[in-house]
Amino acid sequence: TTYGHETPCRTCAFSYDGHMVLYSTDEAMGRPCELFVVDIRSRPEEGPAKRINVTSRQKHKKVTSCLWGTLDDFVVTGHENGELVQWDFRTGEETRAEHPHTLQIMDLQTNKDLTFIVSASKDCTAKLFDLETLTHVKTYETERPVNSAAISPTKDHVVLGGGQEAIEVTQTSAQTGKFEARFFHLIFEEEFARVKGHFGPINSLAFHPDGKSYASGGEDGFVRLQYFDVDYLEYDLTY
Amino acid sequence: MRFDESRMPERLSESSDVEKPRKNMKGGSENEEEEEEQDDKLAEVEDEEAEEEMPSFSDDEDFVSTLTDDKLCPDLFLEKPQKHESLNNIIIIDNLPRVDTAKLEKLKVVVAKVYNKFGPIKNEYYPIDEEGKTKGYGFFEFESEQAALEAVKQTDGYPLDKSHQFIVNLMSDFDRLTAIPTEKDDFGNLLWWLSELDAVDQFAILSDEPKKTTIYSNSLPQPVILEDRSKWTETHFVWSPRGTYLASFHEQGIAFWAGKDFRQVQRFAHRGVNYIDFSPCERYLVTVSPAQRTDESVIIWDIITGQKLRWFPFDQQNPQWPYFNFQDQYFAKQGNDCLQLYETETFHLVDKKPIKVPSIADFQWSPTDNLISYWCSEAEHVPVRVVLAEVGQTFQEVRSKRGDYLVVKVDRYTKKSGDKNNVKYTGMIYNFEIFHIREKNYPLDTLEVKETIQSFSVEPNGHKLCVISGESVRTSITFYKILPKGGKVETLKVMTQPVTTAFWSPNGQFLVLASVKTGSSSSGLLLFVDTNDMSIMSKQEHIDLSDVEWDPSGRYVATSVSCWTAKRDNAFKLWSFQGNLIFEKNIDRLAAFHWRPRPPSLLSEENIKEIRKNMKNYSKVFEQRDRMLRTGESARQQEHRRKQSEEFKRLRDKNSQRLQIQKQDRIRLRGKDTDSVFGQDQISEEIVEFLIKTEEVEMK
Repeated sequence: TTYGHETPCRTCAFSYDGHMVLYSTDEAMGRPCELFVVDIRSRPEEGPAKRINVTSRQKHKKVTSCLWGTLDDFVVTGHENGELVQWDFRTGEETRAEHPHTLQIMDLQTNKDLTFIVSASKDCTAKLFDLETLTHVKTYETERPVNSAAISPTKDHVVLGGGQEAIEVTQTSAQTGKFEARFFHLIFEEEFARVKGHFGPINSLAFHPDGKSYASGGEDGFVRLQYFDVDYLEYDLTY
Repeated sequence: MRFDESRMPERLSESSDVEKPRKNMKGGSENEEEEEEQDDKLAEVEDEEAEEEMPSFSDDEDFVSTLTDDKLCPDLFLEKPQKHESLNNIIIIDNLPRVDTAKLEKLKVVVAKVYNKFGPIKNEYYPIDEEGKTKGYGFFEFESEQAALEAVKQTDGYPLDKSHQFIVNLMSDFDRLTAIPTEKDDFGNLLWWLSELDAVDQFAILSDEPKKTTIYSNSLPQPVILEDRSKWTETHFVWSPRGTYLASFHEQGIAFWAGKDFRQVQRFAHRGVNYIDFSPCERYLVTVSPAQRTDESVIIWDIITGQKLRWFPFDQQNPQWPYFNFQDQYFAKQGNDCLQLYETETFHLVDKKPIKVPSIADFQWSPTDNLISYWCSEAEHVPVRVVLAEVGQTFQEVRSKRGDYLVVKVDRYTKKSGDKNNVKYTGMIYNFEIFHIREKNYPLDTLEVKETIQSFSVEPNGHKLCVISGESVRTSITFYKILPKGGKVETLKVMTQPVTTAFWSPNGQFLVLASVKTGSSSSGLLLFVDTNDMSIMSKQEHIDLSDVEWDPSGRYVATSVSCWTAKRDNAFKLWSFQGNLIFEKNIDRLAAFHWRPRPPSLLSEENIKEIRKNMKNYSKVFEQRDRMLRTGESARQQEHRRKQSEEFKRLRDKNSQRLQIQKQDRIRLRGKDTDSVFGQDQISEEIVEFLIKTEEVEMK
């Protein structure tokens, strides 16, 4: 089934029960950025179950990333200006709004049991929040814009991936590209490992649900599947 | 008109200045009445007043009028010398020769001649002591304040003769000057950082955006921030040569900061100042503001008092400014075809005139002696010359050397055996001329180098010369040993590495060869060399490296990537002298990195020898301390981590409780429990058999 629109769709996410799809459209051609929730069991002609207008009230900027909350009661969106907003989609009202980042939030991902979310931002940091209350818990800092971040389902690690702006890539030599995926300890916020390999900025990261590998997709057109060795799986920062 | 009754008792008790509001006075604030006149006038006034107003103005018997003269009789008043004005009319000339009455007349004539041009002299007074000689100072009164001010300006410092220089001040300044409080601000111990227990050095970094300056202490195990201030300086900062002050640049001038809390200890007002230079002993500061085309473009200040000592206009043709010699005794300035040598005692030209040196191009002081070296560019029929000259009481040429067309780079040697190097690029052949300063008559050695010389540097405290020659990537590094007593220069080792500059440790022996970013990029290659056995201790890299700086103790090397040369990855790295990376930190838009210099060691030769002998004993103690610091740090870190884990665990527990409660809802949403679909223990193995092939065999 296809849900057509006049403006580009930027993000999408399945609900926990798998029956609903949340997606957002871009602010373009005079149309505002909107959030749509559709029940995939119903026919496309019936229209969306819910339609939330995000930008026309001038309160928020365009949505750049979104996901469902606990028990599908709410949705969380990341915006172009670094805001993080929680919506009760049944009423269409926002319940919470934070402004943790200074630049665009590129990606939002949750941990396995949907208790935390990690946001990756162009301002070279990634931050950890409690999903329900949106309280800021941890920060992971790098010197490069972070395009994606994921939380390991089995260990207390987060992986960050990013790189320079695509435009700037050609201006520096390959060796200084530093297109690495960086591993941080979830609690101690310390970087402990880097995985090289991409020769373009990393745009997307995802852990395998069993925690033994992860996939990274980059600007260079490659998707890399990285399996962890025993050392990593047994490694723990001592304290 | 009203009498201010409250002022009366005041008026009675004080016979000197009383402040009163003046309506008709043109200028000045204080006034002193001439009592005789007052009484005369009073009678008049009272008459007038009695006519005009009703209330009786009968004065008290002992009342003295508070009316100012100018209100009473303005026209007469103008003629009356007022103490305030008269103070400004009078100048005090100090440092006059002490003469007896006989010569006094002559003296008077001489002095009068000097001062007549400022205006008619109303009065002059030379106090005489008991012996009948003048006390050495005199008072001059001029018609007008203007004249007095002019006189002060022009004649202060006027040399009457060889041993007498006028010191002239306004009388009114006298009170102010003698009333200067004697206790100074106590800035505390300006050298406090030297007494740091672990003898750690400090360094300061400047970042551009946000504009702030940070000072770190290079302590174990990690550098610690001491001070961090936004907009501490507007452009950049400079450490004084002995590390006592940090100078910051501002639109209005320079400010100095020192002491444990980096308080502002001194200020120099010089608008638009762009460059500064310290004298080696930190007594004087030179500030240059080239944009200002006034007489005061180049100013020399006394650092401790903050006074302006001397100023010069900025010469666009000869953009040189004064250089001080190593003990701050002299400073020299290059002029057109001459070298102006000044003594810092009096700030006058030595021998009262500049030293004529035709077509002088550049000059330098020796860092350890009273020697100047300069070279003169080619003139009409005069070939280029390099001259070594000694400055003592008189300036003499000691030795000069001729050569062909040359670009002279004179490199200075710091301590012990002061060797000097000249580089001559004579067309195709490249030579080094090495003067042995410590030997009699400064003998000369010549060294030929076949390729273009990129850079060279001499080992401080040692006898080696490192020359980097060749073209961009195919550079070769040659080490020469310059033997002190006679003997020739011998080549120690030649290496081929793509580097651009050599940085010697301030104590000699070790050096870092670096490929510093010049063009579009640099590999940032770093080679740590021990020149005792010419071995490369370590090969490292710091990509896009732009600066290399040894710390003053020679233990660490700091390499930095500044924002002027690279847009990203502005950071600095600290290495040990052997080439191990100790610390690195990314600073957004790092603009400058400088170690704080140390003053020369106060230990004598014997002390140093003694310490070297007992090195083993000392090092045991220090090692223990180092270990303690390191474990202390890790203990702290562990503690910190434990706290963090506990906090997080609490958060997690809260969440799992919530999840427990919501479990039913989840099952409802998805139809089954999917919480542990990918748990380890859930993996089950199934063996599936497929029929691949069937074969029919006929049995007979």
